[in-house]
Amino acid sequence: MLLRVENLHKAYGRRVALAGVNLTVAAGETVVVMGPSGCGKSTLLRCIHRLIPWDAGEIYFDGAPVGPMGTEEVRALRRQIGFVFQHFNLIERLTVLDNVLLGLVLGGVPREEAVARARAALARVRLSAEEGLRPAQLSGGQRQRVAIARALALEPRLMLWDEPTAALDPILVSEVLDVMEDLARTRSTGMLVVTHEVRFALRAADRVVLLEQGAVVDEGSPAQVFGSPRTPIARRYSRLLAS
Amino acid sequence: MSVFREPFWREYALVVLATVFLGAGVAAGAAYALDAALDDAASGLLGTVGQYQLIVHVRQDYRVAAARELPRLVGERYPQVTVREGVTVAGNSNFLLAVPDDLLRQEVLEDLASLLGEVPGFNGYTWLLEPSLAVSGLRPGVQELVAREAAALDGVRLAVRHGSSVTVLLESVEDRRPVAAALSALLAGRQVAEVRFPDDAGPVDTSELLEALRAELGGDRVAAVAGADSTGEAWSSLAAVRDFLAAAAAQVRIEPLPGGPELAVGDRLVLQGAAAAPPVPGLPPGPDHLIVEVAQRSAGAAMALIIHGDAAAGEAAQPEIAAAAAAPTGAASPDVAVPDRMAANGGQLAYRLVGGVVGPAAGTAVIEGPRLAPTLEAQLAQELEQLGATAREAAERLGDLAALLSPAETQAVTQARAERLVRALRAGDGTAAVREALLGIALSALMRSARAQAAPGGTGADGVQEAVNAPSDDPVNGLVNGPAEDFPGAAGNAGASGGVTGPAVAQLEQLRSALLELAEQAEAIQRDGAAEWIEQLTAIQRRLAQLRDDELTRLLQAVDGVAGGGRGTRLELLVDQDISAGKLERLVREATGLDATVIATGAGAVTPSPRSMVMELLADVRRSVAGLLALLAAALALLMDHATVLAGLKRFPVPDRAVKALGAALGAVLAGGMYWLSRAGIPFVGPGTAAAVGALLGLATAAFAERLSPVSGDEILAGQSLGLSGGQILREIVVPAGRPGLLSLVNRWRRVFR
Repeated sequence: MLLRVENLHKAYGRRVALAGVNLTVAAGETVVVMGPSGCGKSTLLRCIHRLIPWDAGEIYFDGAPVGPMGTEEVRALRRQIGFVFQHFNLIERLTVLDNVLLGLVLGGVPREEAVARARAALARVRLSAEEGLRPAQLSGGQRQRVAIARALALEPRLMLWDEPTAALDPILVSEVLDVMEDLARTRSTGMLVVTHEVRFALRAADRVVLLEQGAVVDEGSPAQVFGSPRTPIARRYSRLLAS
Repeated sequence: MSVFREPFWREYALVVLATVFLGAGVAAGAAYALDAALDDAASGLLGTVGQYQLIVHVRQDYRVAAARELPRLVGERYPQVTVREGVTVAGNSNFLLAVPDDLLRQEVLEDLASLLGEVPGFNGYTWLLEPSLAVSGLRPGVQELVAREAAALDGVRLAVRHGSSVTVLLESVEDRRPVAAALSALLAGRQVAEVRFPDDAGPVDTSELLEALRAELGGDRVAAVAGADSTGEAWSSLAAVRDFLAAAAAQVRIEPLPGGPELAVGDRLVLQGAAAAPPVPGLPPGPDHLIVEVAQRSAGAAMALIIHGDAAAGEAAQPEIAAAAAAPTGAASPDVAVPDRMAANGGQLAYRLVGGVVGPAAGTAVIEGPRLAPTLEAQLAQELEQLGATAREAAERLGDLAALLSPAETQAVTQARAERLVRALRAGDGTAAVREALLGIALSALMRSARAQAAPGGTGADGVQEAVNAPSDDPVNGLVNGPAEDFPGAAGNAGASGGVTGPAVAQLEQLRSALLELAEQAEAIQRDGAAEWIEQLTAIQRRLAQLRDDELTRLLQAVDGVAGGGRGTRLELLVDQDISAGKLERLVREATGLDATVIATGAGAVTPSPRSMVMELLADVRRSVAGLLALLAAALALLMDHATVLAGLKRFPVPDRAVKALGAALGAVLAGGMYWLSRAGIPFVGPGTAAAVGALLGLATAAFAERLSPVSGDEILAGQSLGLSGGQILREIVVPAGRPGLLSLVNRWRRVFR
């Protein structure tokens, strides 16, 4: 199992964000996590990436516990787990190519190899022609695709997606979702996607996990979760599909 | 906290160090540039060293007139001295005087300074003697001492007194230190004690007092200051002038009305004076009314001085004076006494003066004043004449008495003489003492005669004995007041018997001769010796008569103002500083028995020359400017460079306390380092204080870092998600996005992504 989250607990003061979450992602598997706002979805991803600490439980990546890792181990972990943020998080002063190169060069990849990998990643997201532009010159969809390329360039074993289309105009959502579906089909990378896009989940997910109030309330294949909804939240998503 | 172990921090430390040197250089450089500019200005103001010796300050408004008059005034006395107009500073125009070397003598320089008071708009002067020292804060007596001592030192060319200072011109710069040391030693641990004696103490033997103090305290701990006598003499002279004026001025004695309020010192009252009508309550006083001010109170009455008007003006209000002045000289008038002071008006009402308007009556006033009395000549002549007449008459009566007792007289003559003697004695003419003496002599002679007569059965003793045995205990009074017929009879009997001879008559003759001589001397004085001093005293009195009483009062007040109220002797002593004023006061009082007071002040201080003071002032300015610039540079560095880093660190898993501590440390190093290296010197602010100020600035920078230099949390998060280290994030993401400072400049060359 590539990723295993065991009984993860996280609270912000008195507010419980995660209440004993259990979750797994296999290599090449696409798992979609859905749930209402504030249910702990982003917190879960940041804990997995060691961006924030948690209170109890453990996370295992490729069998190794993530909690006890030191600074260098965490840096290495992060190079194996790509992260795509809701707001792109591009470096505004760098070009598209440099944004993608950032993690590679500073991670010790030789320049030539890094450039090749960066361009390959940009090609996968269909932004090769824009490599010399700066983020301010791009649309939202393009910026998110640069962020995707930046993460892909690291050739991660696992990709974490934190509502990658939430900040996009509806007409731009599809270009990102297309990239995501394409990546899911290739099964080259495990994907743990937090999204409200039900149709994406239906089309691309291997499994859907429903979170509510920091706990997993339902889990299963899209057909199971949405076709035979067992929980109120599943039924709401099912109705979205029907509309 | 592992973020602090990365290479970025080594470079960061170097940047901080470079910032310190750079900031110190900027601060010091700017300060020195300012210093050079001010130095040029100072040379323009003061001239080069030795070029000028004196600056005369003149109020700016009088510049033109001073430019004309100063060269003339100086040139008339010292044509070799040149005058050049300098700059105008702070409302004062300045003129520079170049004094040739051959005129650099104390008497010349002090004389030159004395001329300056005539310059229009004169507002002081400053000596520019170089090389020199100044001793300032000197009392007049100590100034004299210091000038004398300084002039005698090796390496001193001259010492010039001015104001409360002494400027010492040195032979060379090398003499500055030893001379300063010698002068400091003279003043070190010393203080000036001014001993003030009461107004009515009279002359004080200061040398005796000084000896007493030295014996008590130690000879080298007390020194009289030269010029103290002159100071005391000046006070004594002023006191004498004041006494003379006070004696000449008319004084008004006021008795408060029964049951009325007491008069207080300073109260003003209105008298009729020479006016035709008395003051009217409710109206302002008339021009001829007298206005008096109470000066002192004693025994319930108030003594006032006339502050408006003249008591001697007008004859209508002083009828007795006119009568006395008209009395014939050479003959004593039995009805009008001629006292040395005359009362005018015999007591007039005195009204309070309230708000410039006559108020209610407050008392009765009598004006007393020597100028109201008859002229001195007439008075003195009258008195001398009376003395002579009295003496002559007394001599005649003694002659009568002697003849009465002389055997040569016949009975009739003796009786007639005796009767005349008794009448005259009873009338009381002549002085009481002469009368008593004559009676005593007569009684003694008669008693001796009576005893002589009584011994071999003589007659007449019973009458005398009866008189002697009169009820009165005083035989002289008994004889005087007894029946008139007893005395001639007894005397005649005594004389007719021829028994009275020898000592009694001889004594009478001696007394008679003495009285005649007294009469002749009085006549001689009146005729010859008194003429000159009577003329002088009369002249003085006439001059005083030309001053009105209110003018005399103003003179009195002016003298009091100059004397500071002090009328007694003053003595200045140079004493060791550990001798308290209280102890000295006690010793003086014990030695003199007078209620003296002692006031102690510092002896003085050695100060650098004016040019040195100007240079020192410029150096202070330079140091202050450097200090301010250093602190400013530190603040700028914190804002431009370090706020960004501190804001970035707050996004890392670093405790907030650590970030603030880093900020404080940065501020302290930057500010303290710049301050110290630039040789800054803001008053009361040392490098430690500057570092503390810097620490506060750094702490504030850390606290408000994200407001001062916002950083993108999203970009930092992206860097973290890419597996970048803290240092890489700071170098590649945080610093490049911050303000353009030295750190950003250096980082530009060190970052990977340009």
